[in-house]
Amino acid sequence: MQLAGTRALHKYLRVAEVSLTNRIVYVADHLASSLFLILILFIFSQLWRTVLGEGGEIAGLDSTRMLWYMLFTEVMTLSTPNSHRMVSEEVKSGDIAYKLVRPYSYILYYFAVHCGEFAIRCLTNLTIGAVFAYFVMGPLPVHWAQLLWAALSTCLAAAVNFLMSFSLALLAFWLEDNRPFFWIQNKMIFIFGGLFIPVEAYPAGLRLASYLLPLRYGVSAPARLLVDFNLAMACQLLTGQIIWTALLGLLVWAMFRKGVRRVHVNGG
Amino acid sequence: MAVIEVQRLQKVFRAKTKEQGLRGSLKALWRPTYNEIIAVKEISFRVETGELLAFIGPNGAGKSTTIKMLTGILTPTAGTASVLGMVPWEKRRQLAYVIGSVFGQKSQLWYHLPALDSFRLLGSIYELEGKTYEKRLAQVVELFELDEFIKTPVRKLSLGQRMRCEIAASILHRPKVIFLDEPTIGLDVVAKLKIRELIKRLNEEEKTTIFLTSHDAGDIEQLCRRVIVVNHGEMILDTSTSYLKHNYLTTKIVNVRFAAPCPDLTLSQAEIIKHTEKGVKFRVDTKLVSIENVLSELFAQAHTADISVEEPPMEEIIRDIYGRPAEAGEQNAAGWN
Repeated sequence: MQLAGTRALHKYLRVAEVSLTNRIVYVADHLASSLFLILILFIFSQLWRTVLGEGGEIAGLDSTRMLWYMLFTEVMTLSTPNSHRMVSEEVKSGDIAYKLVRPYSYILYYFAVHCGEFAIRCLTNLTIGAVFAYFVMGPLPVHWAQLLWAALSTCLAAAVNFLMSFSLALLAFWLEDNRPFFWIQNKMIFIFGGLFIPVEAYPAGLRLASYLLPLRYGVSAPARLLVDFNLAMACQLLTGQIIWTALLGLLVWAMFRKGVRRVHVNGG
Repeated sequence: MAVIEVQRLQKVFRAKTKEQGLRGSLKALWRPTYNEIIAVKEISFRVETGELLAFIGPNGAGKSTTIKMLTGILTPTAGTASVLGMVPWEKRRQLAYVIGSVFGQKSQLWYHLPALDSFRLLGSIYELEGKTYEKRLAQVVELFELDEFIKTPVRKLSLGQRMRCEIAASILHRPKVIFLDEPTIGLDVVAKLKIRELIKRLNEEEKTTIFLTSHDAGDIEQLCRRVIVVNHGEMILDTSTSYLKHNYLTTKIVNVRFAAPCPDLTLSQAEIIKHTEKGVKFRVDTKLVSIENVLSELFAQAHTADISVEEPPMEEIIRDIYGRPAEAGEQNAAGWN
């Protein structure tokens, strides 16, 4: 049993490794994405300095922490791969059928692809962005324990993001065009994900909506833990992430089971 | 021993229909109507261990649907099938470890990476351990002569080289049965010959049972000992390739390019399909006349720069099969029922 588990883990780790290797081919794309990140950070560094000045704060964060917060949220968003588009296309074209003849779980295969690509994108964006933020706004004091919490939260955030996008991609089993859902998701990330401003700064109603939706757990949870750590918040955020991972995981599993039945009956 | 057993296998698809115009579209929204399409109609056959079987037919004949059912992707509407003792649609995951499949132009290789990376990944997917994988990889590389380009990104390979890698990738885990769905589609003549040679070696050296679909009569003629012909979902012929060759693959289409214009060419024993200043295309029935005689007549009148001989298209063979009554020695579709 243990051997079978190890082999399965090895299988998906290898998929992640190949996905990561494959992504290295697109170095130019990474640099373009990192340049965009620097541009955004530059604009917001000017904005926060002007708006907050000396001593001003938003949700307990001064201008330096606000910029670092934004760096981490942007890195999460820009590093999230578009593998869901591929899944969407495979479902629409019926090519998913050809993946089903391989001895792996379709969902875990794409999760491994997502993780491999996310890892390399996150690493490049974070390195380039952090160097920029350091020189523009100064260092961010972080305790090593904070880093561990944030690393764990980043992994869970990647899982939440994957499951959200994957569930929308699976809508292609029933809908001819599922692109509007991705568009809505992208726009909602700005507000409910807390991409620019921590959701704690929102009015009560909006804040409650953010707390209830999964977007915040996929976008700003690691950032919040890095810029303003407290144990209670860390526990609350990680619990939220685990709950959303479980709920979205169940949703994806149920959708896939129901959708794939159509492939078995109709051939795609 | 039979590795594939199929009994009265049937697959019916439901397709939405709609009357023409806006009214038809609105009506279809309110009360959709469906049309039943019989993709595979009660086919029955057995494939023995080590056989190299051709499963042929024109587009839409039901070849791919049958393969999809035998690999467990599709659930049939009726009938039964067993592949290596397993019901494919019930044991898809377990079956995947002992069968291989190549679906025409659907690649299983990572486009931007060398084939070697995809092989390594497939080794892990099929749970081949370190030394077993290395040993097997060396065998496959040798068998398919991949040494030269195994480290080249797949996007830079020719279609023929890519197809060699595709087939090699699908046999890494030593499948007992391999399903090849149109493996020579889109390939040029040289690449086709190479793929055919490799498929033959795979069957002979590794004793792999091969289930090959194609609409290229040349694939069948040069590779298989037995052939099943399907059309409109029905099996219309199950016979030896030599029988098919001597009775139905007798027509050859010859393309000739002239070295110098020859406007007054006449061929008394062949049917000219097209004749221009630059060349001629004609059909010869080798059962009635010797191709040597036809070519002698041609050479007597024209200087030729190039000649190629084509098999008749599958549609023509099917028409021919329908046009003739079943003869003794021919195993027709009903024979297995």
